Amino acid sequence: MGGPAQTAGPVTSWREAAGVAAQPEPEDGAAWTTDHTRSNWLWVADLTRWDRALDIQGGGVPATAWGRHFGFVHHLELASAGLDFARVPSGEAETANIAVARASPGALPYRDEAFDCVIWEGALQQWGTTTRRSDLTAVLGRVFGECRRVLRPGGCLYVSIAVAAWPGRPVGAGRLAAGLSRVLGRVAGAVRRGEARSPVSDGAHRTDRLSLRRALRRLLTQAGFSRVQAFYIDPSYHHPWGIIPARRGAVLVYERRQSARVGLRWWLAWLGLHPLLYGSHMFLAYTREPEAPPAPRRVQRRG
Amino acid sequence: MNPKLRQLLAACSVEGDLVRPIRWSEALILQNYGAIPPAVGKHGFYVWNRGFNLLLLGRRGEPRYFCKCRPAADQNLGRETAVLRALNRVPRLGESQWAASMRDILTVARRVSTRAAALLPDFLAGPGPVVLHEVAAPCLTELASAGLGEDQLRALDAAIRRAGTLPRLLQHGDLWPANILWHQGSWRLLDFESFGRVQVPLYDVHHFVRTCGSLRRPRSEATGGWLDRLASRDREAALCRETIRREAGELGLNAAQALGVLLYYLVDITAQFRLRGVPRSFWGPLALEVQRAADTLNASARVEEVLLGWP
Repeated sequence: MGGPAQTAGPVTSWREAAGVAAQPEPEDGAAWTTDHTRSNWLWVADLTRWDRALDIQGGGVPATAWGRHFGFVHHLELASAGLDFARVPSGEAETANIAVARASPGALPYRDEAFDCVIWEGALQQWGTTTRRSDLTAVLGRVFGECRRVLRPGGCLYVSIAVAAWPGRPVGAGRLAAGLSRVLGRVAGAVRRGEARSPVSDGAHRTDRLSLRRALRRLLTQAGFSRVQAFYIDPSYHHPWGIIPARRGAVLVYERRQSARVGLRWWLAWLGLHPLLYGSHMFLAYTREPEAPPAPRRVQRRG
Repeated sequence: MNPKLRQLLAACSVEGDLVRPIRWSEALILQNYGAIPPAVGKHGFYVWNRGFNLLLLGRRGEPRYFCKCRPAADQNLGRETAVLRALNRVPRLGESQWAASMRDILTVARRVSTRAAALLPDFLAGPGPVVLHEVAAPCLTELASAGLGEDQLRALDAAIRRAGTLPRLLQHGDLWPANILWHQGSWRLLDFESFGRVQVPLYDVHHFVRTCGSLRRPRSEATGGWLDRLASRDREAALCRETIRREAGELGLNAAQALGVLLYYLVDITAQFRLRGVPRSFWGPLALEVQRAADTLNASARVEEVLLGWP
């Protein structure tokens, strides 16, 4: 996608700017299995350096997918889980630019400011839906803090999360909307596209979706991230057909594109209940940019 | 947004508005079929698209640009680009057809302006005529702050003062080919957002003739300014001058007034762009036109003849 050298200098034409080389197509049909649309979120991330990335194991794509974009990728297997090399296919694990380690994401075994990007796809999946929300909140707070620590200034944390992984009832303002959304949610379930084919959304409490975005934004901010951007992924992060900024206007535009008819989905979006519509959320959280070095002080001569 | 994508969008920005920073909330990824860059190079023409589409929203959330993002070597995109380029080429009108179209459109615009004054009397800033140097004064002040020289300002002010007063006429304000449609056998004007802001007759004519000339010869903008082209000896320049003279005659304006409005038009549009805070790349060429006009005024006593062909 882009290293630092590719972002410098004026662009003379889009073809020059877009000049990228790909490997020739293999004859065994493997082209379709190695093409991960899940990496295209990188086109909306404001990343200026592409040297080192940390890939925390979730329900995400193999680390090799990220190895094509970053100079070096550290793939972190969870300490509680068995080392699952099925995710890092044999022959690709520990390749030239991918290293595999095992540790808890709550205590990352890396020095401060070591990475340009931390990728946590399918966050919370390993804890299941039976864990209490307060426990998950504590886990998330700890992991986000660690991610913040290992990111360099100006670095980016990517988190994708299935709504179904977020348990409990809505809190705060979500409670106000819950009554309305409970009614609308039942009807919305009947029309929500792709839910049936999206395993991550099965069994999700729709009202819970209203609180997820606010809760994660708060946790990321508390962890010290200076900018947090929230997106919806339609239908899920497994199949990111659409990535939509979590803003009412953008959702309305997206829904209008999906169907020319003003239906229930559109009205839910119009009412501000758009979290009900999508199975996955995506967050991009940035650490504060490095401050410009202070201007040299003028030394006043005496006398 | 990804810095490289920002570069790409800026490189293919048609109107220069993609050069500005694009907010994260203004970009939607749609129809995400394949990774870019692709893991492998795929050959042949596929019936499905690869890569993804990007929908960019405007500042008010309206869909503004639809971008097909494909691998650089994508054959489908190259094919589509070639077709669109060929189909979007403006049909080449003969000189006489071109001049006749300009005349017809300006006649419609004049009729609209005249009728609007009767239908929308509240739009008129006052009952009396327009004192040209008074409406031009704030624009000249703005250009002075942009660095226009003292002698140039003086020359412009003097030429505008010579125009004296003009009958008040509501102007479209952005009369250019993109705001005009041929529909069911007649010309239709669009985009009345700025209608009536300017009430100086012949303002629309200068704007329309300048933009028509630029669109007809897009490459000529790189080699010289509008005033240079207007003063040139080629046939199209003569048609432009003739169009302006005829419209001035229809409006009852003399040579000094037609020239005064041309100068006012240039200083106004430059100042407006600058006040809107658009990048210098937008208003810089117009500021050069203003300087050229002032230099011509300082160098020649027969500017009406040089620029407008007025004997």
